[in-house]
Amino acid sequence: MHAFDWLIVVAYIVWIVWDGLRRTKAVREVEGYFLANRSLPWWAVGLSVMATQLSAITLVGTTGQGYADGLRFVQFYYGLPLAMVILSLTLVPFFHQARVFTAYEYLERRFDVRVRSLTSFLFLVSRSVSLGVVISAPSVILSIILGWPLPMTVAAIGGPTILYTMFGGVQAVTWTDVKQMGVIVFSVLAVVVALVLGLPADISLHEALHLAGSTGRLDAVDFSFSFTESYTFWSGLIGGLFLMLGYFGCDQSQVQRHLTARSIDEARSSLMMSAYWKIPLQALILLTGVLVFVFYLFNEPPMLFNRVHDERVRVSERAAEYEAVESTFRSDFEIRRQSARDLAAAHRNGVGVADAEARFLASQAALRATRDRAAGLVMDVTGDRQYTDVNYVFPTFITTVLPIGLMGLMIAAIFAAVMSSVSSELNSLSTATVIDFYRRLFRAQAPDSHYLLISKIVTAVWGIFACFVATWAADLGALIVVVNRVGSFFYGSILGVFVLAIATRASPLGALVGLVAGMTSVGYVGFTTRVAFLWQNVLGTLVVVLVGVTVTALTAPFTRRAS
Amino acid sequence: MLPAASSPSMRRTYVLVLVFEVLVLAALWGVERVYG
Repeated sequence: MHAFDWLIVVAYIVWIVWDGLRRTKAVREVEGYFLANRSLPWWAVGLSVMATQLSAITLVGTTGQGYADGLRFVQFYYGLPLAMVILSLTLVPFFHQARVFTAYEYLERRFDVRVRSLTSFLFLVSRSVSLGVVISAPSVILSIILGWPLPMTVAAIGGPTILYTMFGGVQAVTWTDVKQMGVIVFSVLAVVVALVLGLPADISLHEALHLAGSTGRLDAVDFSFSFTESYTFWSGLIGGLFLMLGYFGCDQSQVQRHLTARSIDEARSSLMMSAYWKIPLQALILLTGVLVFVFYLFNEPPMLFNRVHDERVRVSERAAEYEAVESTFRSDFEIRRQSARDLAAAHRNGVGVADAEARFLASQAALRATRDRAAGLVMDVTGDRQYTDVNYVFPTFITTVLPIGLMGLMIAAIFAAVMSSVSSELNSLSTATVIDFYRRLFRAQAPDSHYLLISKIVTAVWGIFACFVATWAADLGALIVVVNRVGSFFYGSILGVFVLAIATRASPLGALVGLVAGMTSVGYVGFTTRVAFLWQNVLGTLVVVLVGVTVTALTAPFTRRAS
Repeated sequence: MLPAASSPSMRRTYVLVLVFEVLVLAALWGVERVYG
């Protein structure tokens, strides 16, 4: 990286830390530290909601998905706008009227302390581990791309974020989120412009989109109905609706964002911002990946984007085979480049499109098969069966193709994406720990200054814990995947508990039994069937509600007798 | 406790959000039909 790019990255980090730390002055009590005294404008909260959801995994992984698979993933978000409207009508006013600090606090008022503690505990377990993964994923990629040791990239991301979140509280989190969201959107738009301007002189954007479209990369609406296909219109609209209701309505990392709004209507308006802009933004990020694919139709890409095992394969006994595959890859690329030009010309002239498209798709399939052979060789030599390079496409493109300045800006955007998610999650972990456990169960009567001090310490402890998880996550491998997956079992089930709370007369026992039944059934389905993740959220919610209502009805006579 | 009702302008926003989503999906579907 050029010195000017480093200057941009360092300037970004200094700017954000300074901006976060100067909010410290405004924090004098716990309500200010966790909820900004419920004083923030809707647009700042709305940008914070979006920045929290958009992690570096989204920015780097989604562009990689766009490169490999096209726009298909955007269907994941089709249920989001409807979820935001439903939440604005239901949970948002409930939380604001109850003047709670955490979503789980509301459950104690409706049920009892056991339901509150269990749901808050599930949040702490799943969110703390996923926070480690949120830091780890971009850290691993940046360490390989920049040639830094992993602990150094983890510290570069985690250190500044812990610092300003610990001292500045939610004020620092929100106002830095606003700026980070600006950096991310501006950078992505700049890269899209650079990609369009970087098309070969004889290829128009219209022809480039035809090339991408012929490989299915512009398919964004799949109306087929399947419980096993990950992303379809229906799984996104129905399963995604339940996931988004669970995430934005019952996960403290998001609930805390809209609890900081000045009024109920401002909280609602902040959610409407995501309802409007999440799908277009996600489509733009995926489109960036699609345009990177088009770029590499005319410029030779690396055979494999993840070069971490490259040296090991080159000195292994299968080095000659690897070199032969590389040579085949180069000739496959030249054939594909020519057939892409032929297809673009056919579209331009309106002649022979079908034949040119068939040749282009055959050359694309041949190149892909060669890449798969290379990846297979890497897996055989290293024994790394998890090997993949999708997440390395965009960072490789950034660091090897983008001009000076834009490269630094985009690396800063990756830092912004991870820091904005981490800060909100740290802040919410601290809130749940202090409000739902420390103040509720261990020390109910203490001066506000005591809770404020404890909140800052707890923020730092969670931050350091997340950095350790991030450093070891790469080694833990499958274990982390399992823990993260188990965490995802909670969403639909916890949503079910909130549905029981506001829409039924379920008893505390009904809520507890329903929650355990919901998580068990989602776990069973998740580990033993191929039912797609999005549908599991629907299942979790329905089981919790059905079991909760049934247990309440069956135990009602005993409960009445006891009382 | 009943949740606070949304103001008329908020209710209009809900409708606009859903209409906007339909338009975005239509645009994505249109891109797929034209270039796919």
